[in-house]
Amino acid sequence: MSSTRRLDVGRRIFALLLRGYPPAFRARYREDLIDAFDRDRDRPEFRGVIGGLRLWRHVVGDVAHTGWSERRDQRAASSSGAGFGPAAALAETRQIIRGLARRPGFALVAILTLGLGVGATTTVFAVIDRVLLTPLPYPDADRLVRVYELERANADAQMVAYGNYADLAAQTDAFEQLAIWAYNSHALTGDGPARQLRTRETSANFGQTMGVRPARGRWFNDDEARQGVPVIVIGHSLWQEAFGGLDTAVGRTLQLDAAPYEIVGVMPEGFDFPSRADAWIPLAPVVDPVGSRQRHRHNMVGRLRVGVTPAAAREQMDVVAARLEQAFPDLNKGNYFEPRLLLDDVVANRGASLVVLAGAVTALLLIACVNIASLSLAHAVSRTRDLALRAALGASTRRLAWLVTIEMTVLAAAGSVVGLVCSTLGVRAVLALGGTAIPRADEVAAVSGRVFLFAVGVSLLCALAVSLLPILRSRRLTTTETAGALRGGRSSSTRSVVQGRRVLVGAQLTLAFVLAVGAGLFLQSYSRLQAVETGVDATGVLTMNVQLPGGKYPESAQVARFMDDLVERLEAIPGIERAGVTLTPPVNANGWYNTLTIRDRPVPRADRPPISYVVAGAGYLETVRVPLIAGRLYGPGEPRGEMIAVINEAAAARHWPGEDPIGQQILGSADDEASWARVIGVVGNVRQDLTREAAPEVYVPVAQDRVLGFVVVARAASGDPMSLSRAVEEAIGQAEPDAPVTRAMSLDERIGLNVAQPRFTAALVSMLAGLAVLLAATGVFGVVSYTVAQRRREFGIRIAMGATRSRVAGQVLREGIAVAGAAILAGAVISRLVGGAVADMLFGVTPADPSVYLLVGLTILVVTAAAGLAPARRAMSADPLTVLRDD
Amino acid sequence: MTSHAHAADQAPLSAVAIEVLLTLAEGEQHGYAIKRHIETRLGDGYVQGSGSLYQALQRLERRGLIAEVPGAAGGDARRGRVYTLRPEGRRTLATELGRMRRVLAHARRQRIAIGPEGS
Repeated sequence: MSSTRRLDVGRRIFALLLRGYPPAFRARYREDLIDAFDRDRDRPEFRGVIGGLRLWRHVVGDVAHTGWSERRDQRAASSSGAGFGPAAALAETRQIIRGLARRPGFALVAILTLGLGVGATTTVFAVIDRVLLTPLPYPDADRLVRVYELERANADAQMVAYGNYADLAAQTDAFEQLAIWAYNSHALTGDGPARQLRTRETSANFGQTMGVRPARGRWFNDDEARQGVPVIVIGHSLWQEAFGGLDTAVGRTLQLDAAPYEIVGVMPEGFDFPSRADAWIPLAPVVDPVGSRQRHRHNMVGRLRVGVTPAAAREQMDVVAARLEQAFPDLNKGNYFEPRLLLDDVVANRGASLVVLAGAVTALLLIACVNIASLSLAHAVSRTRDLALRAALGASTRRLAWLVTIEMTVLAAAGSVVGLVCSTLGVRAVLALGGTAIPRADEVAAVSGRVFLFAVGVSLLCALAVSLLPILRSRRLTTTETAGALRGGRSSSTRSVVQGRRVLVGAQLTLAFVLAVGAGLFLQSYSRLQAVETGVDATGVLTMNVQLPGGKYPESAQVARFMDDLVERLEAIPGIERAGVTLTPPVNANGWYNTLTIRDRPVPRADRPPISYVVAGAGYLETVRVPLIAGRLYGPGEPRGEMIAVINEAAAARHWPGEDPIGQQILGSADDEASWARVIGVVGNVRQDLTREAAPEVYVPVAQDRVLGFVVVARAASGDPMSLSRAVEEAIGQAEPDAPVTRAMSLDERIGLNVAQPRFTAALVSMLAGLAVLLAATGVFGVVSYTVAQRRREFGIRIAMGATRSRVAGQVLREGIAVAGAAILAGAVISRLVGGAVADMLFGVTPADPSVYLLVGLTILVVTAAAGLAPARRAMSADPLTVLRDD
Repeated sequence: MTSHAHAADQAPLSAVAIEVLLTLAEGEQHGYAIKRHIETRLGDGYVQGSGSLYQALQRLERRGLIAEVPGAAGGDARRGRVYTLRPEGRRTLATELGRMRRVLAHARRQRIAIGPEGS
């Protein structure tokens, strides 16, 4: 930052500022003013940053004040009235509004087009504002980080072991608080039907970490957490539901899994972290030295100290990770900790589709602007006479430009009102459509002032851009043109206007093409996703979640007996062909994982491969029709004696290539003979993640692992499976009245949740592309109509000379098609260039997919032809006699 | 609001204009020196904007109260224009100061506080 350079920049800015003075004043005093400015800068009180700011404040104020008053005086001295002042502008504005009212068609089309463009843009911005730009609703949320424990060998692992958490909390000082939680769910029983609660077991400092205090009562303390005292903090909605929002709730008792918990606090409205929590209960520390490091079942959230960056925290944690690796090489080899800002974590990869939408909507806005520019260009020509007359009477070019700008600003103001109305509806529609695809959709947030400013800003920007063209035109009005226009003949400028509009329409079609290609790619990707073979036959299957009260079922054998009995009851319902229960329903990437051990193949613990682990009752695989490849499936009452397991083909191929896995013993540990499970069957693969090949998976009977939350599946013999939902719910209620039942939906619907995000993106981009094509078509219609109107005389003469009418119409159409052809070529090039940006969001289709390009190109051609058809027919109908007489 | 410019000759002098006349009453000065004089006289960190200074100079010149000294830039190229007070200017300044004296006297009679920072 050399001082001479700074000097230059400052002086250049000052020289620019001088334009605030009227030219005469500037010409006379420029040197003196710059000289004074330089001297001022050398004064000690104006040195340094603060001094510089003080100087600039004075300079700007001085220029603004003096410049304005000087201009005012000049105007007052030179003439009476017409000028740039506010009064004159008001008068002009009134005149312009009257002028617009005389041509309601132009005004209406311009306002609606602008309103649509601004509305769409504002909608997307409002959603982005809410999701990406608004901080999370916690105090100093930018200091909150999720901390993951990752394994270099296994990219999917990210849960943390309790012992490692305790070490992190003790051995780092990057965090003000470091809290831990585990997801859980409990059956809430008592008055009325049982309800499933999303409970979160948390460390005592969880509330403090988040920076949120209970609205009533208190959070539980360290002693309660250490001793496992059954206390509970409930969320606002549970408080409303269970206690009608009464203050007496604190101190009362809730029955969770048939055990009593005392309510000590109620959280404020809107707080439901993590992941739509209903209530929070103390997490008992895991003290067993090995077990606490072996089981990775917890999640961490930390509040960074003021001034500590996530990177700095990461460095500290790397030290702890290295220490852990040394102390427990068997358990912690290759493990490391990674902090991620909570906002990034909540928004996750879903931010990308919002960015794509922002791009799409900007293209749409550009198209809308071009439409208006094109309109106003035509309009400017029809006003050439008016402008020329004013110019002849002494109005300066700048004055005429000023008129056009005011006109556009008036239109922009109206357009932004329409846009705001559109966007308030639009935001609601998008949030409704988005559902789970938009993170934070349920957060209470009013339409912010930022969004309002954005809408108005975009409108004004459009007005500015759009008024540029007429301004450029009015600058070029030459004397001959003026003379021509005044005489009333066609000025030579008509042709250049047609050219200009053609270029604009070409640009519109190009943008529309790019957007439509985007829509085509996303739609294609979505349909490929839907067409993925999941490995199950989902049609006709009903699913619902059921949660057993753990207090009543302390042993996994009891749970298994209950499930066998439930399946029997369900299969007794008329219309149900087959039923079963599973921990993880098909296509659910958030299922449980286990590490695979194989008897007689000892592998260090850290190197053991992960395997998707599904606890499923007898009949489940048959119900969803997963094919049996080898061996057999298990039935009710199994296992009898030795533990058993069924693996999928992917597991067989990965771990027993060329061997028979049947009879192998897996999932056990060397020091416990009874822990081994024998493989009895191999079944087909089920994809848990639609975008990836099926991973190794193992199914074990309910009796072999204590699980309380299940998904019940039931296949209808025929018809809509949802018609059976009441009967199934009743059967579950009879089997266990205290088991809450939730989320009754068809299996198709449940699997569909996986594609909510792609569906949302595809739907929205398609909608925007549709609008874009429509607007572009309007543009084509406008320019062809205009050409035809301008050339009626020519067409009349040609028809009089013997040209057939269809020939004339054909020529008009051909011109339109030529523009479309050029636009398609340009659009294809641009699409190819920007396509790479969305490649990561596509599945089963490349950004350069030729079929999409072809289809979109054809669509653009057809739309162009259709839009040009009506005006072309008008050209055909040009009557030589009338046309020639008119002249 | 635009009408007073027509009657510029009768219009009261602006505060800056009076300061300029006061400065030039001590002898001819170039623009920036006038600015510094005013700032020193008013003190208290007051900053005289160059734009409004030159605006005032232009108006005073038009009214024939001050004049530019031709070719007086001398050896210092940076100095710019040098101004001097014309006899009419001196008279106008005297009139203006008399008017201000009467205003002050009136304020004293009415016991309106006029301290060192008086307003």
